[in-house]
Amino acid sequence: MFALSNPSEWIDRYGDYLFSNALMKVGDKESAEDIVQETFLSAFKSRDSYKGLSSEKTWLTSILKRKIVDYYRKKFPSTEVLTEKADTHFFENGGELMGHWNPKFYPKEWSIETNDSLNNKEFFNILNQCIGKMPANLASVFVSKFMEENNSETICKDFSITPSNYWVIIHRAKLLIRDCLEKNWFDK
Amino acid sequence: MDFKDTFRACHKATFLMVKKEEGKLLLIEKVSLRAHLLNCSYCRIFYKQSLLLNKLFLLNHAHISNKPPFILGEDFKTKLNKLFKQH
Repeated sequence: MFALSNPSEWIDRYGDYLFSNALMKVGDKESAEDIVQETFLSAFKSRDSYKGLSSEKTWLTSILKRKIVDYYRKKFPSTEVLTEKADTHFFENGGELMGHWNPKFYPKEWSIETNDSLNNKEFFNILNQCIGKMPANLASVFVSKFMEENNSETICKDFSITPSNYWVIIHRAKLLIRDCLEKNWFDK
Repeated sequence: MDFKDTFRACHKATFLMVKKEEGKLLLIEKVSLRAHLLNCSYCRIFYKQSLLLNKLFLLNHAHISNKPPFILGEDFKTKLNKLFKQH
């Protein structure tokens, strides 16, 4: 069983973590701060109902996640339809080679050893910058899937997207992040 | 789905790769992706890197948990503390 610490300690202990989590998903500082504030206030008001089944940090993170979902429902009330055609700058748009890699974006073999990246703080800084460069609606789905390991059913429900939209978003996010990391880290 | 189209296009092949990572491919899609990978060295590189990146993304989650990359401003923290006191 877990116990809650004094709420006055929450901000110093978890504030930056919750803020980072929110900022990566919503993409702008003001919205992320609002979400963190709402999270702390909700947690503060409902602290008597905390049952100690998960750690304080996990409990606060789950409240934050709900706030982010609410934020998205307000911001994108109807499902934004993304078509597969929209991310084609990576690929040839017409002619005999339509759908093939645009030579400017040919994936290259990376020169940096994987293990060097795993232990390198700088790599994670660059990765987080690359996530920050993605459009916010892609970044939120990206973080939810690849970092938090939510399944596609949960993500579709959280962000009110259809399964086919989900695949288009994941595909585009993967293309963008791979390209960004190649240019800024692996093939620099 | 047009088999020939899938066989040829890297756009479609990379799409199938991300779907494959969640085990959501139909048999025909599996076959066409495999055929494409046999013939396309760029997509083979993409495929290999894509799997590696998935591992790095997960590690990033742990990394952020230990060392948040973005820091709340002191003013904002003070404001939050005041809010707690009001409630």
